[in-house]
Amino acid sequence: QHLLLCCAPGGAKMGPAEVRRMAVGSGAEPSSVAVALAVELDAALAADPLVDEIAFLPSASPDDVFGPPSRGGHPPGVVVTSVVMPGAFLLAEHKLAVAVYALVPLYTFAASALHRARVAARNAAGVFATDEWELGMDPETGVDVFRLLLLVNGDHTTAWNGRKRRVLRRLTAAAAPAHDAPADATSSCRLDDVSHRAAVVELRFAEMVLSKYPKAQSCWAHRRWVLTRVLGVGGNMLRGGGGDGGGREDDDNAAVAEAAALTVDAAAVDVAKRGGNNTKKRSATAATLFAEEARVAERAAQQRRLNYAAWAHRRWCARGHGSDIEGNPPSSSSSPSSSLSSSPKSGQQFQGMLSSVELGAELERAATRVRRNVSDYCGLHYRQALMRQSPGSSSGHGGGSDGGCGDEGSWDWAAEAALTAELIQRYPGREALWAHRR
Amino acid sequence: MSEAPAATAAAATAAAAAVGHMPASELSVDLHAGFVKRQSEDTDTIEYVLTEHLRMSGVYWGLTGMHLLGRLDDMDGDGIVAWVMTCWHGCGGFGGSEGHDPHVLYTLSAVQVLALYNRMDLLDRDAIARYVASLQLPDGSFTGDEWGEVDTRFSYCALSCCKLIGRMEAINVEKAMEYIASCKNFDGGFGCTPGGESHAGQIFTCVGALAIGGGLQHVDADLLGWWLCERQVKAGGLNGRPEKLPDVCYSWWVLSSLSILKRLHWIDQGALARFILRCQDPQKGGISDRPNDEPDVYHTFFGVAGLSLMGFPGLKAVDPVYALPTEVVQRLGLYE
Repeated sequence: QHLLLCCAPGGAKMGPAEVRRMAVGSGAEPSSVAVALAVELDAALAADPLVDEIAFLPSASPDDVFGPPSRGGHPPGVVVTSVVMPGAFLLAEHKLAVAVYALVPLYTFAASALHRARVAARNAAGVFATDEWELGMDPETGVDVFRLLLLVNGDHTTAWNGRKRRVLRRLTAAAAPAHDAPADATSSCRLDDVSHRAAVVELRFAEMVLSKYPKAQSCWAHRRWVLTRVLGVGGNMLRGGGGDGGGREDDDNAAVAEAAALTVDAAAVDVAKRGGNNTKKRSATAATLFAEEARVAERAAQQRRLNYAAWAHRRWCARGHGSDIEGNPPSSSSSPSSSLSSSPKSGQQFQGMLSSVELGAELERAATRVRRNVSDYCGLHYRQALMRQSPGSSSGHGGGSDGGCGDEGSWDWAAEAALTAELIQRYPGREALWAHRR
Repeated sequence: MSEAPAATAAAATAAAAAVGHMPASELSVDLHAGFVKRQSEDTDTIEYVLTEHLRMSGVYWGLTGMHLLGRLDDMDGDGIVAWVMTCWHGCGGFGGSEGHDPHVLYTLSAVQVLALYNRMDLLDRDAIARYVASLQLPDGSFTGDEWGEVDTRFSYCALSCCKLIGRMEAINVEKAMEYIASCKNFDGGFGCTPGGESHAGQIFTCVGALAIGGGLQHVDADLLGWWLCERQVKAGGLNGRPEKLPDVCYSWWVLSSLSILKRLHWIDQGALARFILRCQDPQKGGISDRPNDEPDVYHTFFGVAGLSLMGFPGLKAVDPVYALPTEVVQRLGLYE
């Protein structure tokens, strides 16, 4: 995109200074139609925060997408379309379709807006403050540049980074107490509120991007960043202080009541933030978070068979309480309390999303999935990872007939071998099953 | 399944001879060179736009492929080198394209491109070393950038980058080896993080990293070699994991790993070479992931590199560890 306009004459080797002088960023300039289209699309997305799916089609005109109106295929609700470039995009029932021919103009606009904002931020005397670049809003049109870039290219790492910076700026602003407010309580509540709203927005947006780019690694990485940095999975609560929950019962009750008015996931997150050391609340919330991530990962795995990034994410999320950062159970000999306890030990204690009880349920679900997808080694490997995590102690709940923790406290290898043997006999020649048996 | 040394050597020679005696004309060098050059010039396409974030790696793939084809001079070296430097950040890293945030992936690609053109003099090696070192975590792993994502691919990039610029002392190599060793799976393979599913691409990065850092003893060569040669399917191509379709890029990831482990003859090289040749696009030029798909620069590079590794005639030699032409690796003295 930013190509060089000239070459050195004669083939003489250029020194470093000459090389730097030569490099002029040109970049294509978007047409006025492209700018107008970007503004329209940005407005449509801003008006519907619940978009959960995108697709690129040869044409996004309503008749091409739904068929002629007389056939009755058009949806009953509002259908938002482009005026400046008819057929360029369509937004209906929280689904967005973009015409393939609109992608280059949209991206060209977004890339030039990004460049413009960055150049402006670099100019000390520039009109645009660094703020604009940090928030990713185009100073000229107000378009959310990061959102637009990621719509077209879900693996645009720099745009994801921009969204992270944007979230951090908002959290920092929320944590700073208003100058006439009393010490910590209000600012802490405000931070919690902003945190969970930000997390919901980011995770929802990431899911929308994954509907088109189910393997985009920087998108999955963004989800993990939101979970750890914003929602505190892993124990790094984003707070001014150490995040101890002492003496905040009243806040808890008020928060729960308020949270009931929000969407389920937001409420769960809210409760998580205020749960402090309340094990029960945390485990309910952690389970909700895990269920969400598992749902998103499963959706992506359905879209792309053997989706490595989706399964790696699911495995990451399945690391549980009492395990180290890589999901290995505590190395010290298992005592009944260790696997279920959430009290921090010395050293790095990972407070994950999957409790030992939930682990058993997830193992059951994994077994069911394996039976339905016998050539899917990702699902089998995932089951291996869950098995490795199962605590050797008697308090572990391995679950069901498809392998589990025996009374003697060891993984039921015989049951797992029997499962693989049964499947191998029923479905001969499946390399994945043999690999799992190994 | 280890073989006696004599049988190994004989088998290796025989396998190499098979590919080495294929007619050079079966690889459409002119078409592929033209394809790569056009891809670098057609900036209005969706493909070009959608790959902007990884342009630096795309440039590395294209140029190294051209070098192996003997056609590097077809490209505008000065212009490319100048463009690479526009992606430089003061912190020591390179971004995927101008204005993109720094990342270890593109830092390596940038260094590789400059190595191809023998313009390492343009690099601030100390700054790069500091940047790469800043990405290493206490457990020896490497994040890709400041945002903290860990992956064994980043370990490979960090080690290769430091080796190319001669700054291995900037990082903790021993810890890096330990971390990669911790990613070894029961099947001898490696994944993206400890416990991650074995994947041919990740295996290449781990085996390559271990080779660079002097940690190959952590690899069970027979066990991993077995898993790797099981990647060959009936059509002759290689896949990356069990029950996946063959893909030309695995001709590189699997082949280079086998080569480093000195077990290249464990696959049927003739069948693989014929598969790669079937993936050429006879009209547009370029090589695709499998026959009759759209070609792209990435698969063109890895197809050519795979053929080179097997001794296909008319191609320059490629180094399996650094994925750079052998002559570049020799010029840099990486094995001294």
